[in-house]
Amino acid sequence: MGRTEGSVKTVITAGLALILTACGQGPSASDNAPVPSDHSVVEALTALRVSGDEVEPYVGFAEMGESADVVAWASMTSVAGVRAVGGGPAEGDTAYLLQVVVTPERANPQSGPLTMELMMPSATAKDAAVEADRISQRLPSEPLLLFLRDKGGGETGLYRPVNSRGLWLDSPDGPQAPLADEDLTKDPRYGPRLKQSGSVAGLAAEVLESD
Amino acid sequence: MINSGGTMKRSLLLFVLLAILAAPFAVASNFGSTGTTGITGTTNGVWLTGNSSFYVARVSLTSAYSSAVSNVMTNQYNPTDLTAYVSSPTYCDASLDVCVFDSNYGNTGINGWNSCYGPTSGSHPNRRCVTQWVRINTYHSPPANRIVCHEVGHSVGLRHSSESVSCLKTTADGGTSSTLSSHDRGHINGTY
Repeated sequence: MGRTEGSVKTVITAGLALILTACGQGPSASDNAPVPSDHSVVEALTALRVSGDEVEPYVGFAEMGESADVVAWASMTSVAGVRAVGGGPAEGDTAYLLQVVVTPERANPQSGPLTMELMMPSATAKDAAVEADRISQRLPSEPLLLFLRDKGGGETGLYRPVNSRGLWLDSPDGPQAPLADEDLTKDPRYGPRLKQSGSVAGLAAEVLESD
Repeated sequence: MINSGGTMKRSLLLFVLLAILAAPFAVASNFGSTGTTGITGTTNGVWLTGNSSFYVARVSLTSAYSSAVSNVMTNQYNPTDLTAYVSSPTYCDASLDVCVFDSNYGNTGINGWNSCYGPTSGSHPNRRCVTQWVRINTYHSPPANRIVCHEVGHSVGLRHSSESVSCLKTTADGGTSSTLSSHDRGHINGTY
């Protein structure tokens, strides 16, 4: 079929970097007081929901923290670009990942800025660039709690949330995991702990203190 | 007295009949579109397909997943009120309801996913998408029949399920089934 299994090609869309550079923001909140993201931020991240069949088990915060390669209270500081993965004779053989630079305020283990990749729904490179631009203008101004996996192999040094439960933020409607396709605050694995902590910021402080 | 007893029996019978008919929907529903439309129109998630004539394309699939599409359509979806037609075109086009692709998309942590590529109509939870793309990530080597059953389910309106006997239960939640449950089939038959 002419397919090169395992091949992963990198495409940084021309011009995107220029647009996105202007949108970079530094981390803001340095204490644990929740500063809710506005609705447009949540909506932008919700558009990246995959609703697919995920590999890593859905577990509570403690177990997720133990299994993750990095747990971080980090700001999304910029969109670095779009990476095309897969490849083959058909258009659907290629998928697009949004690369976001996350800068930890606190992390276990300690870490500098990391590149986190999120699946995009886009079908073409052009659509992916448009989506990336839209999201770059709506990056949360306050930190998120991230449970990250180092992708390893040929993708070592690139990170992804362990699954759709691995990215949390404080929204105007309370704690949210915008990549998850259901309200996790009603899930007994997450809701009671969030209620106890009061906010994602509070939970992050507890999780990273106990590490 | 006799008439009253007969009325009671008929009422009871009607109640039982209604309860049986409603059974597939009485469990916590795992049916209905959810996809959030992105700025470019393409979005991941769950959508309804156009109608009961269900055109499924295997687009440059590797042999294991190609066989699985035929197998799953024959044994899982054709026994429902959907009539599946499987083809193997070179490209996906708007005449097709679902195009299935596979590739090594790398360590995304996702075995497979469904997205809406074509135009949509209606509103949630009955929003329909003309052409949908199912992607299977060979990096994670998901079991073929299971992942096809799961992702194609999203293209006809099935959401994730909590039933162990359903292929719509996610791997992350302990799902291992490769078949539709009677509850899943009830939803499909109630819609198409």
